[in-house]
Amino acid sequence: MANLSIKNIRKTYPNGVEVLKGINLEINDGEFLILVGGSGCGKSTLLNMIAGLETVSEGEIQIGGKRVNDLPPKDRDIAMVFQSYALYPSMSVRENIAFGLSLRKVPNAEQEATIARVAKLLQIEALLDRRPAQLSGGQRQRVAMGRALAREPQLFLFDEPLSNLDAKLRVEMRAEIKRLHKRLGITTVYVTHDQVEAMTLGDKIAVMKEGVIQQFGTPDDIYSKPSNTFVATFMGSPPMNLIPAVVEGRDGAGFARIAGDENSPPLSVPLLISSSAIAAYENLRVLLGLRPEQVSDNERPGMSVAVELPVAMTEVTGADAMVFTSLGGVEIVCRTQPRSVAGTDRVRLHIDASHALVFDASTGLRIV
Amino acid sequence: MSKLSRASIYAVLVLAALYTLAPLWVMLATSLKSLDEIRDGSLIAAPLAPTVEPWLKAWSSACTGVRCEGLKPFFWNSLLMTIPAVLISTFIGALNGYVLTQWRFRGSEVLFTALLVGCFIPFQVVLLPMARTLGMVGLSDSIFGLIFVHVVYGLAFTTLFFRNYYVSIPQDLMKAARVDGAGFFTIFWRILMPISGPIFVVCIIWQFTQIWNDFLFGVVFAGADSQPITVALNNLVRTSTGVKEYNVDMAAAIIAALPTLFVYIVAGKYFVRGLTAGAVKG
Repeated sequence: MANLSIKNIRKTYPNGVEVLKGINLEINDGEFLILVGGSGCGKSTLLNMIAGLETVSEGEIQIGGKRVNDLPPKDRDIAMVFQSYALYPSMSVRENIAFGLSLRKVPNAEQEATIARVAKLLQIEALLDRRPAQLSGGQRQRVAMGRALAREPQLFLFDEPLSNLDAKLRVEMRAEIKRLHKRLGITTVYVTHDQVEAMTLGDKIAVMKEGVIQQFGTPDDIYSKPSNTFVATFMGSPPMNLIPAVVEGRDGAGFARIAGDENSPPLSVPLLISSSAIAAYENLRVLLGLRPEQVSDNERPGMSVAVELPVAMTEVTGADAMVFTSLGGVEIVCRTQPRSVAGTDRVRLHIDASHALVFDASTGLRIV
Repeated sequence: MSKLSRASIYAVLVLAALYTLAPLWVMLATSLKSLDEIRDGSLIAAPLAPTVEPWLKAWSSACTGVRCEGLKPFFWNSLLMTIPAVLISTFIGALNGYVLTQWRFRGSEVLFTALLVGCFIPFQVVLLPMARTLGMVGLSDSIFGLIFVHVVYGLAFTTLFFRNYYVSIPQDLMKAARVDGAGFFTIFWRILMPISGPIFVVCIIWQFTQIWNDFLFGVVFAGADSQPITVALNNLVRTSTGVKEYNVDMAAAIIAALPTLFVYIVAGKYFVRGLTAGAVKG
């Protein structure tokens, strides 16, 4: 077990393409780090560099306080689970789990004990003599995790391990991974493009885009205090609504003024900002960030603004209904109760301004 | 499908089969006839009094030029040449394919393309440079020289086979093995070799047929004592002592073709399976 420290890591390919542009990350012993981002953001490259499967162009990687830049993968005391599972096709499940151990010249009796322990932990005892081709996707996933667990590594690396599974199995395995991590407490780095996985599994999340970390923090930070519009819209489903507005000061209080159009009336949403901030941002063009649940049929006391909007479309998901409407010239999504929108073409919604965020429209950075 | 169309399909197929098999039948029948019977009878008639005399003569006493020891010594020459050449070229091809797909380096694609060009170079083009090379390294007129020539010439094909087979193996498999602590050769032996059966069969059949049947390299690069069976067969057929012994010629031709036939019959089903096997799942 160990902490992981990544200092100013860069990766430049020989053809000059820079895929990682100075990454800094630090996680403590036993923490679960999520690397999340769209495809091509460099998250898998970073994971491969931690594993030692790709060389580091610049910067330093430390596992347990020890610089590992120049160590081959086998000497880093890591284990890795791959998206395609990467089970050795000609070997039985037992041999797959034992392969790494036998290469390390672990005595046979000890290998047997490890296989038994891992098989019990993952409930794959009945599969030990099968070959990968005879296993279902979920079983392969378990075996791949078993192979990684056999080594009792300092650091666990997951490269989108659940993306080849169907939706139901994915939720099950996600819970399983979380349980295993709780139980074993091994430091873990987990790459995914799925924001639900990121939110549910991570102790810390690093949101990446184009080789740069956009934000590094706890899931709660990332969700409620996204540092820019990319993070705000990437995490959360449906994504956060970003409504063009202008900052306005009135009687010492701050407002975001949303212009009206043929669909919606002009609106002033109160902002929780200091008077000095009002002075600094007065008349600045901004994007008002509101999560779908902050525009709902549920009237909350305090900073709530009511508005009546036309319904363009509704999607009933069971417990909630997603209402698509428009405000300030952009389409927005609101989360309401199904009964309040049944059969109506206009809906009265309450904007909960107490958690409203404000982003600078030109830079995309959050200012409130 | 109506009975009539089904019957006509079968009729066409049977005709095609007969057409294809006819030469083999003529060869086999002729090789079992005495010379008198050949002179008197029809070409496609079955032998009335089958005799293995022509076979024995072709094997051990027919004259190939000035030597009259039959095909036997040349048959062994061919085996001694073909088996090492096939094994060496197949093994190196497998290693090449492994490197070109799983350990790509800068320029590996260019190298592969250059190797591919080797598949299109006609034998005749390399004769003179190869003769010079063999002379310089001291392998002229020997079986080792022939093995060398066939290995070099076969590499383009064997590399192509293995490269195309291994290219479908996911990179993740290599990564997993490296994290597990396996090195270059451990991965090759323990992970790739066990799943390479079909492509080995394809490659071995292909190389065996090519090398066993080769005439040009044999006639140019072999010495008097290292000539392969194809060259000997040619000499045997062209050496006559007055009478043309068709039965011995036919027997000799079949003897020369037997090993390739044998390889096809034994491994034929794997050949088709290997050619069609694409993705390595699991």
